[in-house]
Amino acid sequence: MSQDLESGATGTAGQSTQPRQVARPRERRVELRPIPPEEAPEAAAGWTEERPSKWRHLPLVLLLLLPVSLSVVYHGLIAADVYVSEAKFIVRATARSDAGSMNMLMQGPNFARSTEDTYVVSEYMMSRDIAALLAAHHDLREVMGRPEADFLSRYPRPFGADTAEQFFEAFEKLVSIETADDTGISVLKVRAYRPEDAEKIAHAILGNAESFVNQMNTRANRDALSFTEQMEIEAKRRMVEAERAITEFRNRYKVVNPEKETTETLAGLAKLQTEISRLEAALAQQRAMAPDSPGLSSLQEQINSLKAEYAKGQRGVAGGVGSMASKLQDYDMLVLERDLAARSVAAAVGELEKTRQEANAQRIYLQTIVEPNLPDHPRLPHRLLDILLVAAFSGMVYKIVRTLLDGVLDHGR
Amino acid sequence: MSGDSSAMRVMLDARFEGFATALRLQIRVISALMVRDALARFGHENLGFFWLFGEPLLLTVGVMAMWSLGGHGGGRQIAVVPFALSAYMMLTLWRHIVGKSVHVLRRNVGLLFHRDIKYTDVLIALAALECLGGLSAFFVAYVPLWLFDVIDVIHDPLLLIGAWMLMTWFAFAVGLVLAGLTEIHEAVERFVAPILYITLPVTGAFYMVHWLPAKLQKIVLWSPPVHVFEMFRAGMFGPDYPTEWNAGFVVLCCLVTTAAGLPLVQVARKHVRME
Repeated sequence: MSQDLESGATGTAGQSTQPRQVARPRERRVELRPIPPEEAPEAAAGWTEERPSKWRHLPLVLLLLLPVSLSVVYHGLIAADVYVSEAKFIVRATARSDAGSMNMLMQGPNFARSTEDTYVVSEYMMSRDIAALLAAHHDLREVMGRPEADFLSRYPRPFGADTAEQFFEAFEKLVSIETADDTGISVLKVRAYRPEDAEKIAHAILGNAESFVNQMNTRANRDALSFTEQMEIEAKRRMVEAERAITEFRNRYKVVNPEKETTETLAGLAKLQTEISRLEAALAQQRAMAPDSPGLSSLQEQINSLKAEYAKGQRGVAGGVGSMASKLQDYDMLVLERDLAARSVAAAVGELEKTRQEANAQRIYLQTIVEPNLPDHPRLPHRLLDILLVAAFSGMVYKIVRTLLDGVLDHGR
Repeated sequence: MSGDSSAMRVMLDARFEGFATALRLQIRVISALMVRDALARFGHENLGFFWLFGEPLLLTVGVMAMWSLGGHGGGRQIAVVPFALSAYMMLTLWRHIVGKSVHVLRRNVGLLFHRDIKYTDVLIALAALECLGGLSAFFVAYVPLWLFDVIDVIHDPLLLIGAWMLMTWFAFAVGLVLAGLTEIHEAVERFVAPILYITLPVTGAFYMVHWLPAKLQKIVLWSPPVHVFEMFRAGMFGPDYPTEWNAGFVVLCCLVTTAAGLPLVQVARKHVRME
């Protein structure tokens, strides 16, 4: 071929050749002629063939092969089987709804069936309190540290200590609760290295949650009740106070029932008045019939004394400090106070009864829909899936790093 | 023998030096490309370079004025102006990078004439220019507004800038994918504009996640830009306004998209013809 080139260059200047086809890059044949060392001595001196750098495969090994092989070893050989026990529950409140049916119709479909009580219970189930309870009564620490567990996931961790914080973190990994928004049903999943452990812990969690819910109920009841009880005690005290004031009044003024006595006094005065009128009439008649009769003066005396009596009686009833009228005012106030106190006692007692009834009716309770099951087959770990995920992820990272590195090195040539 | 080993050592040093030199060269190339792009877009006349951040500034300030006057009420508690600022700056960044990546390879094929310029450099330069331009625009808008007491001081600047960088990375990754796809297949170009428009609600620019009902929140949190917007707003407004985001999820999405985009661009190179 090289001979052809040279002859073509020198010999065919004038000949008409067919239009020279320029071969496309892929089809061009390029031939390399090595330069003999005599022609380029400096190149021959320290020149070696460009080999790919021995660091070329380092990213591949580090970013892809290493993670995948580690993952295969761990997930294939070391990782321990994990059994999952599942339970379903719902937290219900038996609250009376005061909304009429018309309201419900106009509200439209209500998607959020799960109330905040459900979340309260879920929070409790994942809390340190319940973890401590489980550790104390149900050997949670032993469950997390079974010999069946592999050394990486057993509690305590290889380089970790048995602290409350780490214990709680390990507990959080064991237990998961998910609540569906529309139905309000929560799913409790407990993981353990032995099937009976998983079931036992799930039962224990549900049991503890129930006593927690009961505790919440009694506390709520107690709060509501104590308030109304307080009100009732207050009302009764007020009543007693009012009665005492009336008794004191009666003792002080030596009168049992001023009203009645006033009425009686007034009746007496009326009778007096009648008597006075009668006597005056008789006097007038007597005077008309016998002006000089000696009985006139005695009649007049009688009338005068009766009138004096009447005036005294009248003064006693009204007018002046010691009169019945001013006492009546005080008495009226005290009687009013007692009436009001009596009414508030009645109201408080009624309220207390109502609150007691409501408190007993309005409780939240935990209903276990599906009891925890005894798993017979380890659901976790997803060995193949985990290995594939690790492979995919490190493959991606490797690809990116490789492309970028090659891009940088491209500039060097 | 000794000659060979010393040659090896020289070669090894040359390898590392080679990498460092190549890297330095690439950085120079990228900076040059950034300057070139800015000049190509804005020229020397008028305000020239200023429009790099003048453009997002204009858009954002305009929207701020419009919303304030029109009584848009950025929603619950956040005032209109800070909300508009947080929305439009990042949105401009996203839309510019993704929008300009359509047919970017064939538009810049002439640059390949220079031996030192590769496609990767061009793409990185475009994204970096948008990133820096947008960030400057944000601060040019923010500082006067803060001085006039319209906006509170930024709560967590690191979070803010981290969110900005994550947005750049994700937009760059999506841009890579689009750059590759639009060269490989002719019809892809038609879909880009409508898809950008339709996915506007999913970018999370105009709402905060906590304003949505719970079911919608879960759906919308599958979209990476939503997380980035939440991060940005968390950095700007602080913990008074509840935000929900997961940086790890965004990084994962960026990694997946970049890993898909880089090979696509490599493949697309062969489909680009020199006009």
